[in-house]
Amino acid sequence: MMKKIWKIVALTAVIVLLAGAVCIGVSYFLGGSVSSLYENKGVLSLLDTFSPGNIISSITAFFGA
Amino acid sequence: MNRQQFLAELSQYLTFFSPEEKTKIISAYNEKFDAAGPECESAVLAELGTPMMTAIDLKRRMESGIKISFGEKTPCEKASDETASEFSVETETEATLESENTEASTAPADYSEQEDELPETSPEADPKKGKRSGAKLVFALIGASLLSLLIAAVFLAVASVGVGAFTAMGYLLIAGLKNLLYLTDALMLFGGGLVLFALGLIIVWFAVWSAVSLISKLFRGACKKGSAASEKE
Repeated sequence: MMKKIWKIVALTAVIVLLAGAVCIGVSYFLGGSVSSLYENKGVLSLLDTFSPGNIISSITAFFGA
Repeated sequence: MNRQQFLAELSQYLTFFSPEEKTKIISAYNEKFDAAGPECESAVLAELGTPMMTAIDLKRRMESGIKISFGEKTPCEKASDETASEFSVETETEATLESENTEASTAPADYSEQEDELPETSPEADPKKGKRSGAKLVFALIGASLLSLLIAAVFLAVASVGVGAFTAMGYLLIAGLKNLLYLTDALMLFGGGLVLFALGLIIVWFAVWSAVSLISKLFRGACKKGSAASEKE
């Protein structure tokens, strides 16, 4: 049972990961980049929220360090 | 089934007797077969029933303190000695014995119930042993529960990382939909969201699977240890 679920999860993850990689690849192929994404003001606040630095600082704030 | 097969199988079932007792019992049954002779072998086998029934009967007799005797007359001798009236009485007792034996062999649950009732007649040591093994099992289960709480907490933290990835995926996909006009940005956001979804899925399932398998192994181990302790006692 567990093995079956593992197979389904792994297969789904691989397919989704490949789809994501294809999206990013196509975006790069069309001339997009992360730096150009940061220039988009509508997304900037979101990218700031999910930036690694912000995540680490929120975790350290949560644990009171 | 012949005599050799019967004795070999009976020997396998006599695990609750000491090796010396086992040898004595087997040799006594051998003598019984010798006394009956080859012509009465099938009659003796029919009288004894299956080896398992015989072993259960012997155990029951031993536990209830009845002396196990093998010096009874063989079925062939009985048939020649007995009158018609005596024979009817004998068949009645045989029938009751057989019904008892079949009850014991076909209904192990009933037999275990009888076994549970036995300590009332046996010395005080048996309930103490039972209590001790029960306490060991309870302690093992309490330990397993505490450890499983710890494991659950650790894997809950791991799973929360996966849930965080799912949340981020949701935000990125929504942002991608909002910025469809900028195709490259939207594709970048979709790609990021999908990658995060894959990571979140693997992390959450890994946490759930690890917690479930570890906790179940822990409880199985605790139960095994508890039962092993009771068997030792």
